[in-house]
Amino acid sequence: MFSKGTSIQRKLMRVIMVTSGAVLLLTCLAYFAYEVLTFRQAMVRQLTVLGEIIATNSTAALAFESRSDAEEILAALKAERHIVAASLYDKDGKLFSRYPSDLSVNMFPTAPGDESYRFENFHLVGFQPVVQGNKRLGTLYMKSDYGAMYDRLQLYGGIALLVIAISSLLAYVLSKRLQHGITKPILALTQTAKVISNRGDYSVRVVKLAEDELGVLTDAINQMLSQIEDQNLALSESSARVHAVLNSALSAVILMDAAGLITDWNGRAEEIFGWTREEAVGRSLAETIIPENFRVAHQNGLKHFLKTGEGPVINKLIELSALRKNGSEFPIELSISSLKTGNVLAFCGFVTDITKRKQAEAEILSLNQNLEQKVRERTDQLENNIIQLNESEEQLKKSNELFSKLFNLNPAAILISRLDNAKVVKVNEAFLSFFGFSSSEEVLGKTARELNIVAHPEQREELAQLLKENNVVKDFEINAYTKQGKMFWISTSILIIELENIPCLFSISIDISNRKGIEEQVRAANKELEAFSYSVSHDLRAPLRSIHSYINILYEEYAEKLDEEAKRLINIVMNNSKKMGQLIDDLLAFSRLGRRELTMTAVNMNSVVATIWEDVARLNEGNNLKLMLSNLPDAKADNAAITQVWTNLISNAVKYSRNKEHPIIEIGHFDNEGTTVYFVRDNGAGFDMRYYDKLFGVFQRLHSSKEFEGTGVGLAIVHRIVSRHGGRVWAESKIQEGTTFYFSINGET
Amino acid sequence: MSVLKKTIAHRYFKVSLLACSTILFSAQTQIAREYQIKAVFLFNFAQFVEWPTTSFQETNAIVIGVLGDDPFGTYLDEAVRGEEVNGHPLVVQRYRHINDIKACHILFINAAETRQQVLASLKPKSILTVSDADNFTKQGGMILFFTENKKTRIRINLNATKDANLTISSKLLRLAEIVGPQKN
Repeated sequence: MFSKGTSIQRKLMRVIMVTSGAVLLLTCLAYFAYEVLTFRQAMVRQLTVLGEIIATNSTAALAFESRSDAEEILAALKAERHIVAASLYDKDGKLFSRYPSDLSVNMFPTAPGDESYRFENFHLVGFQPVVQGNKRLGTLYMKSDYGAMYDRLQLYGGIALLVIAISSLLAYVLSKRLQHGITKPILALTQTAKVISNRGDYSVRVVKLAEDELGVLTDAINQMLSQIEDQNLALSESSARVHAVLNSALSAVILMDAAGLITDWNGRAEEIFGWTREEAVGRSLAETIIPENFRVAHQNGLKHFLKTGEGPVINKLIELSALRKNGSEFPIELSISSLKTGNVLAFCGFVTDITKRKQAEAEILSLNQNLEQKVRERTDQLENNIIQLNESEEQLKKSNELFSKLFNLNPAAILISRLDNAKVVKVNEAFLSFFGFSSSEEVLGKTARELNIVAHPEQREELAQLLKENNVVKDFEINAYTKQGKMFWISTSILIIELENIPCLFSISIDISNRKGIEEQVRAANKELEAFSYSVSHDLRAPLRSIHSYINILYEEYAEKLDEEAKRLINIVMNNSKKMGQLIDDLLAFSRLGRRELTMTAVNMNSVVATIWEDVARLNEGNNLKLMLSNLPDAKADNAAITQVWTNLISNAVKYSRNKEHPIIEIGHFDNEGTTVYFVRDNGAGFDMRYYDKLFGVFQRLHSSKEFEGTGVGLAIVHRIVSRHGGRVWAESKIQEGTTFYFSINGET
Repeated sequence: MSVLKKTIAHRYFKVSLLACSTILFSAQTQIAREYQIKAVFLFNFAQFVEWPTTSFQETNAIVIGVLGDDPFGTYLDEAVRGEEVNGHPLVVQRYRHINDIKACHILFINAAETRQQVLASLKPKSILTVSDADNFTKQGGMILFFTENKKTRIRINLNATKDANLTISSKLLRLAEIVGPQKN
């Protein structure tokens, strides 16, 4: 009666309409049936009455045999159009007259029949006696059709239809109005339910519109929604927890339904197989991760399990090959368990990628094989070695003897002491004779300190420090005491060796007293020389100054008496005396250098160079001089001395490049095997490297005074200062291209 | 007078016909049939006419009288034999003279009779007078038999019947020709 999608509003409407329609229809039908029944009776009655009238009227006609009159009387039936035929029979039963008169005689009964009315062939027919008083005069025959009834029924049908139509309309209008009370809350419920199911929003509540059963339903739904909301919350928390667990699981977790389709796929599964969860869910597990040659077996296994509930792989840890998205196969460890929730069967697979384990196993296997191979080889080698060992023992013996000879016969003093407690383990003959001991027993088991062989404790500390830093000390010169208290110089080298598995200090020393004595003599001679040249220079200055003064006076007092030649000559004398004064000053400065003590401090090279450059720049304004200066590291040096070095080198560079159109002076440094090398480079005149030897000599000049003024002391001073700093100075040059001076200083000296 | 002569002639003719029945059988039968119908009609009048109750003081029966010669032979007797109308048995009486008439309800007057005298004498009595004589109704007679298209028809003088206190059924009236009474 209703399609599944018919709304309640329509259903209700239809119920009302169909019900009221059915009631109306039944009522009408009953009425019709009643009508038909009663109408037949009424028809018979009417016809009988009509017959009576006709019969009564036609008595005279029959009595006096007046056919025309009889026909006239029958013709009156014309007024009743449903009478299709009528006839009169005389008392002898002969047809007397008929109606309609033009109707064939054959259409009428030949003789009167039963005197009653009956329905025949959709007509009501019958005979009635024609009686006057109690005298039978004849018989009347009448035949009527159902037309009247049809007319009546037609009328009734029309009325019924009208009634049904109006009633339906009324029912429609009324039901439409009245059903609001029912459908409105239901529609509201439906609307809300749609909203809830579309949006999945269970926080929506249905508005209660009535206090009837629908109101109760609304309350119940609202309560249900609250419960669903609570449950959803709990469910989503629980599911989030499960998902978190699944996604953080180290194994891939795969859920599969009974049809073999993937229903869940955790993060680890995404990593291992390369399928994202969105891609994997809904796919067939077999086609996703099982290599083609195992698929049939997997599907058969699944069918077998679904049929019997038994599976060889269920709840067991199995190893097999699996397929990645990119088609590569790899080994996995898999355990499958079946989950039955309600009537739904599902499978949960835990998958671990065991590629690495397999590789490790393979590696271990191959390592084991290698090891076995090596053990075999080793065994063979050892066998060989044992043979060789016998030979080498022999050699060792010889070597030991050699060592022993070398040790004992060595002219250098050798001392071996333990590293841990500094006690002497072994000394040689030379040691004993150097230090004045009579036998090794005096020395062995004692420390060097106890033996008191090192003259200055600070030297010992220094030695120990060096040893600690470098593990080895070479040619360290110290003062030593003999047993008898005589001091002498030794040069000692110490290294750490292992003697019979004990770490020991091996020191070997030679007596350098003779060399030290010679050095001392040279130093004394130099000092004398310097003192001499200083005093000479100093003494030379006094007469030179008086020469210079007097020639000056001469020039100024007697200028007008002197001719030009005399003036020229006097000028030459003055210049040369000035030059000589300069030479003496330089010489004094140079010799002073040798005598002065150096005070080592940390020198900021940048500020030193900057100060010098300021002066140089001021003196050479307009020379278009360009300086390229890079940042210089500090150095440990004598500030005044190193300032002199920079001054001389920079002045030199400026001097020899001043003839250039664009003189450029570059000052910088570089690192050479841990030593800082500073340099000053110019693009000036340069020099011939063939005369390099003369470069740093005192009063040695590679250019004439006419070309470039100077005394030839500057570079000698540089050389001397750098040497005294334990450093080195050198140069590279090309004629007309420029010169570079390099120097390094060893801050420790 | 011509009617009388005609009737007489007719009568003679009829008699002669009867005498010569073997020769003129068909004509004789024709006349016989006519009176047979008229006899039945006389009886039928009893059914469609109502008499005042005083008419049945002397006798309960409805008396059909024939004045003068009886033209019906046995037909009239046959027609009324065993019949009764509204509880009144039917009796046929034949009168030769007007004075013979005592209790009578329907009186057929032979055309040969001097009707004006007869009718005058019968006037106060409730007797339905019937005849087949021409001008019978004009003379004050009540019902006249006449022949039209070979069929016997009836003419009724309603004034006469009213004067005689007789009620004639409308059914009978619709079959008959109605005429007013002839005032002399």
